[in-house]
Amino acid sequence: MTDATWLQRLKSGDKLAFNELVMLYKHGVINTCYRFLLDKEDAEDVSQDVFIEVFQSIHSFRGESKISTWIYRIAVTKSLDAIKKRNRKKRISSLGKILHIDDVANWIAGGKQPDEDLETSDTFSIINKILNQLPDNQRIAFTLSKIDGFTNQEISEIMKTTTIAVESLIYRAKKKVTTDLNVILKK
Amino acid sequence: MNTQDMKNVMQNFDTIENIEPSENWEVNFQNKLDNARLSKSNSVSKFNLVVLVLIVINAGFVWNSLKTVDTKSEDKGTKYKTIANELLITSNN
Repeated sequence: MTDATWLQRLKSGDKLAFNELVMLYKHGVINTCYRFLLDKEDAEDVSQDVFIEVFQSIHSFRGESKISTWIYRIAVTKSLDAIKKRNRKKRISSLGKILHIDDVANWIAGGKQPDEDLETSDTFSIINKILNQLPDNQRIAFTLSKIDGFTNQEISEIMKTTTIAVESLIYRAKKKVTTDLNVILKK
Repeated sequence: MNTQDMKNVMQNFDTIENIEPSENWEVNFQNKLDNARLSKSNSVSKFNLVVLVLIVINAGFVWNSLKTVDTKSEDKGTKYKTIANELLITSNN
């Protein structure tokens, strides 16, 4: 079956075609989200949202890129959104601690205590801290480059940029990560 | 801090193992998908209702304006008749 036929089936609302798509990309999407979020539960949650988005906007997909590229682009965007949301929760929670209104801050932040739940290990906590300081495009290029199977060409397609730009982003990200890691580990 | 610590941290990130989706991934996903389908059909029916209301309002306006035009044209007809009669009278005279 060609990509075009498959796409046509997906656009016509064929449930079987959609299930095939989920089965085919589930593993890749979950692990891409996991690389960004470094938390299994969050990665599963976001990966489900990715497929919901695919389901809802398959009609607007014009087929200019490969369907896999489009899906991974959604996965990256959703993961970054989740990270921003998580950081916001963290800030509210910290503010609550400073102002001694932990319960209210926790309620505003959405119930969980991010510091306890989100940082699964010291290493992940350090990595999170460093990656949070990278600009979005550097973070995307750097993180995707660490995932097996993503070539710079594919990353450039996901990011809608050139391969040279991706190489440059990865280089700059590595440099910043090394510097920041130096600072954090010195403390 | 030493270079080894740095290497370890980066190595940990480089060698993160792939995860397997949990057993209830599928169930949770189906629930979310059902909700999405439901909200999609709800929004479609709401959209249809809005369109229907707009059509009815528009039809009301059209009907109303036609009615007004009809009365106006009747008025005009009567006026023309009067003028014509008057002209006829004038010309007869």
